[in-house]
Amino acid sequence: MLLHAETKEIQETLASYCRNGRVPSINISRPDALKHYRRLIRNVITNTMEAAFPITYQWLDLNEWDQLIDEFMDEHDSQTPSVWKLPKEFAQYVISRNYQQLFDKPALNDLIRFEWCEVEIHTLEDVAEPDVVSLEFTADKKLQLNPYHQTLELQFPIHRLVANEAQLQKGNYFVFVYRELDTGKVRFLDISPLHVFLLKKINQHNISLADVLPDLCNVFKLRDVDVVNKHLSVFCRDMVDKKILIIT
Amino acid sequence: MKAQVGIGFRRDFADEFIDNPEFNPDFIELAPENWIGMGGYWKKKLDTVAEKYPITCHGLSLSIGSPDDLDMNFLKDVKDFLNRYDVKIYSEHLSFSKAANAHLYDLLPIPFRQDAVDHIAARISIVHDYLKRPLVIENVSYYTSVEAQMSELEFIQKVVAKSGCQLLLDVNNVYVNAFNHQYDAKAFISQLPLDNVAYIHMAGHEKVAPDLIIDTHGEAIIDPVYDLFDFTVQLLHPVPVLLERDFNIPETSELILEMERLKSIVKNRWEAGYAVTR
Ligand SMILES: [Fe+2]
Repeated sequence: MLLHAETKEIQETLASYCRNGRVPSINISRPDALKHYRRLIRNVITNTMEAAFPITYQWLDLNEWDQLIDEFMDEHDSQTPSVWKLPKEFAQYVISRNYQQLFDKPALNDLIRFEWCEVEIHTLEDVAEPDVVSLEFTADKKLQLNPYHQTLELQFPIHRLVANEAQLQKGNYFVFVYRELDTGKVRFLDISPLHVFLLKKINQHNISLADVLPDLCNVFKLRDVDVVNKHLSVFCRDMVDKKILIIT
Repeated sequence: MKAQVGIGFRRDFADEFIDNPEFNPDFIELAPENWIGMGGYWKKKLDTVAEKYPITCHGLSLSIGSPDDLDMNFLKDVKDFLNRYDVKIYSEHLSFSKAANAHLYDLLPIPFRQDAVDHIAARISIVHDYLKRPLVIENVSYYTSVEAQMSELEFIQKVVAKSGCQLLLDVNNVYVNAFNHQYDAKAFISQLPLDNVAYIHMAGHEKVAPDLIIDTHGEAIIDPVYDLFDFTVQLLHPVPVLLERDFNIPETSELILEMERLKSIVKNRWEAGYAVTR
């Protein structure tokens, strides 16, 4: 390598100061100006995270938020060249370090996953989108799922309630997050385990409601297939209207 | 050559580029990092403006001065992006923004040393060969030098001489550095390898202390920087000029006035039959 070990170390020392604020012992011409590098980098990080996690930012105490940002900067080696993708690494960091326990905020992981999911679906790379050939749903028509979606399984209904209230209602919640094909806007739907099963099967095999029903009734131990069919037909019709399910 | 004045394309005022008939930059500049891998709503906006304006790219994360290895996966994405949008000018900063396997998302000053010159020159040629287009290198603002063994001017001269790269001359950065480190901005510019200048940046800045300016791109260009620009363009052959405005975005009418002022300066110097006086 053409760069000498000494120069490399100087650069790493400067970078390390920017991340942890511990003043380095290197020879610099303007010691008074050094702090601006750390300040500017911290601004980039906190502004990016405030924009990606506005509800989390509001919910946490300011010192909790500052702690998250400081420790993330210090401990996490940011991998993406695109700072707008960094919230994904931040979310993983917050969850893996179990800050929800540290802050005694059990809904933190759910909230941070939910907020990142919104950004992720909004910016998901474009893929070939299925042509909408019909909006007339019938149970025998083959279906395809809107490619821009994710199903979140949450412990707390943070998508419906403010986080402090959501924390009082621990349970199992499924939220279907998707991007509207026409507008690019992200929307959320509360769905049940039955719907999760159905959508997963359709996504895997591009099959009709009728194709899924026997398996679904078997798994969920439902005997009255007609009732289930009716219930899920209403659901599917709505999903077709919203272009979440696409008749192909 | 007709004087070209462009402006940075940002999400904050993306619709102005599409809908405002008064707003007609000759080209737009954007950071590929802000758009690579982006789909949906913003990708549509990008494609719409790309139909309307030529695009130049000004990167943020290549980190040409980094002690870490070049990220060839990232470079592949950049190359695909430059090809997709038919980008002729791709520039990057003479700084580093990654070290010890971590991105920092800001431009840190490289130690002005010979081994750094050699390291950077070798990397410029790798990038150049890989992208099959020149990598234009920008002089950056720096707030302190770090274990320097030569001056900033020498450092830039050596990098350009050794790599043969083109230079993005950021006039505001020269002004900021001259102020912060107390040198003569005009003398500095006069001694740059001006034949290699392929592109110019102009921007505003913020004075955070009586003796310290930070290059924020968040204010209007101040008169002394316009004066320095006027001085500079007299030494140059015509090249595209870009107005950088990243924060604190004003009314579009103000940006239009700034672009018009830049344009009138370059028209006066480059289109009125003036010879290069160098
Ligand atoms: Fe610049």
